[in-house]
Amino acid sequence: MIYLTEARTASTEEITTFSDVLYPQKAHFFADTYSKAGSGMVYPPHKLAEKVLDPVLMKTLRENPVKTAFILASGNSHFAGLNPKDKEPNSLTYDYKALPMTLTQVYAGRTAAAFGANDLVMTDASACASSLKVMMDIQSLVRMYGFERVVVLSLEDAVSNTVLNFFGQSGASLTLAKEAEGCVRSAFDPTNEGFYVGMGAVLAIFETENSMKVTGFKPRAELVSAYSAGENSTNAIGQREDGEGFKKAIEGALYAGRIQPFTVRTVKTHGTGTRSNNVAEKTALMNTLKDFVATSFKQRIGHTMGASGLLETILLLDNVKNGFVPEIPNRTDEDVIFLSKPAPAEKGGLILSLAAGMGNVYSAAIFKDMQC
Amino acid sequence: MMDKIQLFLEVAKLARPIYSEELVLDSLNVPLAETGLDSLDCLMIGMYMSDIYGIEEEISKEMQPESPQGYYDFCELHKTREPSTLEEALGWCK
Repeated sequence: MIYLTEARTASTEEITTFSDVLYPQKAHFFADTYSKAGSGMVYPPHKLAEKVLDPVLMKTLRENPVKTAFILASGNSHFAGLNPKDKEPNSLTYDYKALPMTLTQVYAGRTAAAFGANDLVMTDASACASSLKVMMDIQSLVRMYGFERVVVLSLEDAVSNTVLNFFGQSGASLTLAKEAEGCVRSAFDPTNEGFYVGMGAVLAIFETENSMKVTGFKPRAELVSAYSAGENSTNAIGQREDGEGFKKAIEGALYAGRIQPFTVRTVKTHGTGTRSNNVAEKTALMNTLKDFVATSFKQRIGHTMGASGLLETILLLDNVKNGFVPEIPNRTDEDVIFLSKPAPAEKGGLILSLAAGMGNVYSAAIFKDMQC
Repeated sequence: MMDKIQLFLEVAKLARPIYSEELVLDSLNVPLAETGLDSLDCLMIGMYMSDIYGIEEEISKEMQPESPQGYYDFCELHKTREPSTLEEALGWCK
């Protein structure tokens, strides 16, 4: 069996307004990651990663070696700082002098070494599904190839000119212009919709019993099952509204884990709150599960892109430990499924986490809470 | 007279990831391979040293030190300025 033992997260509910980008908008931003970035010697994604790279945890793993893989789930590859400049220099403009350090696999290899993860180093670029997509990889590594431990680090350069411009232009993130029309962040709501972009990072350690014997770590959850799927679409930056991709991912995870749909009662949705995701994800869930409550975190911490799937799962596990599943902010109607109010948590229950990414990738992972 | 070992250690602290274990250095003549620095640490240290000694980026790319002393030898050859104190040197790390 595979257990999620230790995890570290970085995200913020604080909001910063960026008026000097092409599509002015708010974002969940760690200003300190950009401190001295203009010098070309400080790379903001590295500073963000340092918020979750716990030296004590790294040393413990290094000093207790088992067959270990390291995965950097770097999402849309914006970790590599693609075109961080805007047309005119602004508050997010930076360049980086040491180009090798911007390459995801180079960064992954260096960070893996600090964990003593010398048996395999991988990167994943499955867009905003990345950190959940690698749950499928973890299962393969452990069950087919004898790995005892997998370290997952996930983050990307989410609040950058490139991302703010892309999301702003496509109408995916809430711009100041849309907010002026009265639009407020929410998901699965008939009136409010959307998200801000957010900076976030997650570090999670997955172990077998054998690895846990040497680290002494306790399980927070069991990774019961995971599956990723594509969908039949001619639009690589859109979603089918019949939820084909989400449905295939959910059904794949249920089948792989030999899980009956009625036993999954808690769902962490992808929950961007865009109209297309609302329709697609809701349709898929209503056609696969039987009796569940669903929440979304992107309206609280923003869309942390590649990191979002796993990061939000850890946040939900924290909430479940405290006895509740949080509501989806700014719902305008009462809803006991896509929660308009917090609901009691099912401790020890199964949690389905969903994520979707551009390029038609959909990921589902099922965890069993073990914190009670 | 500035302690060059101390400056090197302070620059290494700036250049290395925050989780790195503390570097111990008794001599500037230790081969870099034996210091515990990895290749990217060495690259970043070179960039910071170039900043401190006012060496242009194009010239600093030619730096190929084999020991901490190697950084200072290169800087001595190409410097356009020289810090008089540790504080001044670190202040010049932009």
